[in-house]
Amino acid sequence: MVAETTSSETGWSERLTTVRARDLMVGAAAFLALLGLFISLDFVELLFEASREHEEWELDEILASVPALILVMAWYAFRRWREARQLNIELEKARHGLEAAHEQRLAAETQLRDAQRLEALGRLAGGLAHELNNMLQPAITLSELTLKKDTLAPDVRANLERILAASEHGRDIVGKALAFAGGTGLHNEEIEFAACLKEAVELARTVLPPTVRLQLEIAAHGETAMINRTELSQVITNLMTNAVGAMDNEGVLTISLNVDDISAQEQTVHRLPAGRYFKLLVMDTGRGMSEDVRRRLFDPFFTTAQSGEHVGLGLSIVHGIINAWRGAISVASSSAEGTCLKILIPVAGGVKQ
Amino acid sequence: MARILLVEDNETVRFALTMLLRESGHSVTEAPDGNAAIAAMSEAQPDVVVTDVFMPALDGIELICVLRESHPELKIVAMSGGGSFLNSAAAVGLAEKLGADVVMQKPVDNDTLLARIEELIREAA
Ligand SMILES: Nc1ncnc2c1ncn2[C@@H]1O[C@H](COP(=O)(O)OP(=O)(O)OP(=O)(O)O)[C@@H](O)[C@H]1O
Ligand SMILES: [Mg+2]
Repeated sequence: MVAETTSSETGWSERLTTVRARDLMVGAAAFLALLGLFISLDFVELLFEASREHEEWELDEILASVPALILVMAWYAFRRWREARQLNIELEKARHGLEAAHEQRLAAETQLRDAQRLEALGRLAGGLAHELNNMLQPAITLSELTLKKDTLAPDVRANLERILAASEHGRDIVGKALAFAGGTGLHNEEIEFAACLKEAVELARTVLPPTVRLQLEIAAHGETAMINRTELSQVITNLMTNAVGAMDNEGVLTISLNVDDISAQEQTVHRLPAGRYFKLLVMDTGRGMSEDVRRRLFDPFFTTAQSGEHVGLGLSIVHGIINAWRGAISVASSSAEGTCLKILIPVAGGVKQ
Repeated sequence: MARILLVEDNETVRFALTMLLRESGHSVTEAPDGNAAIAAMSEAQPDVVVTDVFMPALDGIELICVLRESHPELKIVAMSGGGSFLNSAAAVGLAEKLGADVVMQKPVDNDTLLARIEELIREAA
């Protein structure tokens, strides 16, 4: 559908160019033919003689009117040409507008589909977490209780310790899946965002190897958001860890913050109500990601990491937390030069919910 | 040591938590859902109610509402396993708003649960 419209539109403008070229050629040929004809007939001589023979025809006046007519027609043609050019410009503008609107709609549709898929995954994760947490409760409570007894045979104790460790590992993973499903359940409070962001970055500095340079461009001092410090810390740590991973431990990591009203396009694409938002950008100079990775980035348990220590929950948790803050996260750009993640967070009282 | 009413629909969870609470010297009455809990209130005379948030008949949220009306002084601990219907953040927020004194995420840690109950008993005394 889209391809068809574009191809027929190119055909149309190409056709116009061909028609113009043909007209010019026909015009030039006709001019040469007429010139040849007039010269071979000795036209001016004929005209002169005719005018002398038929004084009564008023040929002088008729001849004088010819250049006047030519000038007027040239002026008229020039006006029409300008008009056509203006129309063309407007047509082009309208076409661009249509294309932009179309692209915006496509982007919004993709975003909506992704959001719905993540919502479904969130419900699934939440439901699973509920059941699993119930099952983990007796496993943890009873092994801890039993381990307190000093009558246990050493091999029983060792096995029980293994059961407890495995259950606690399970609890941690379920906790992360739950964070994806609906935030961490921690309380939001009104806090000064820029200051808290700086704190969170300081706390997360430990994930940076000395070969990664950190660049902070933080504005928007004094403005507040309804969020939770611990969650912000988790978001920043996860994003910084990912950036370091994508840069193979070497490069520049830039974190920038400012605050502004979001555009109409941002409203549609991120499904956010109009208003004032913090815009947090996390940019790295890493390897970027493929379109496929980009589409599944926030899916729980999606990872491209080979080592077992990455389960692929980092960005799912970030997504869950930012949703719970009524904000949005997206990939602003990603190429071989690096990746930029964009996060929008409502300014406290700046957005009508 | 305190009298505790434990409201929990999952039998194994109930068994484990009862054992934990009894071994640390509390006396425990068990109820499998909110209705049973309300029925047990007068006989159990609990100092603290420890309740699950999601249960089949009269869930934790409703139970907290009812108990807050009838026993304003009662100490309540709500435990949530995460959301099958409500998301967990919303449920926890709701439990707090409705007046649970402590809200904990399951699986609750043994020592933390016991410590919280101690605090509540001290507050009440
Ligand atoms: N800044 C980035 N640049 C390039 N790719 C990225 C970036 N951040 C994330 N990714 C890709 O997205 C995937 C998912 O990221 P996510 O943080 O959810 O999981 P993970 O880092 O693989 O595991 P975990 O966070 O659980 O340790 C990563 O495996 C990686 O391929
Ligand atoms: Mg990660």
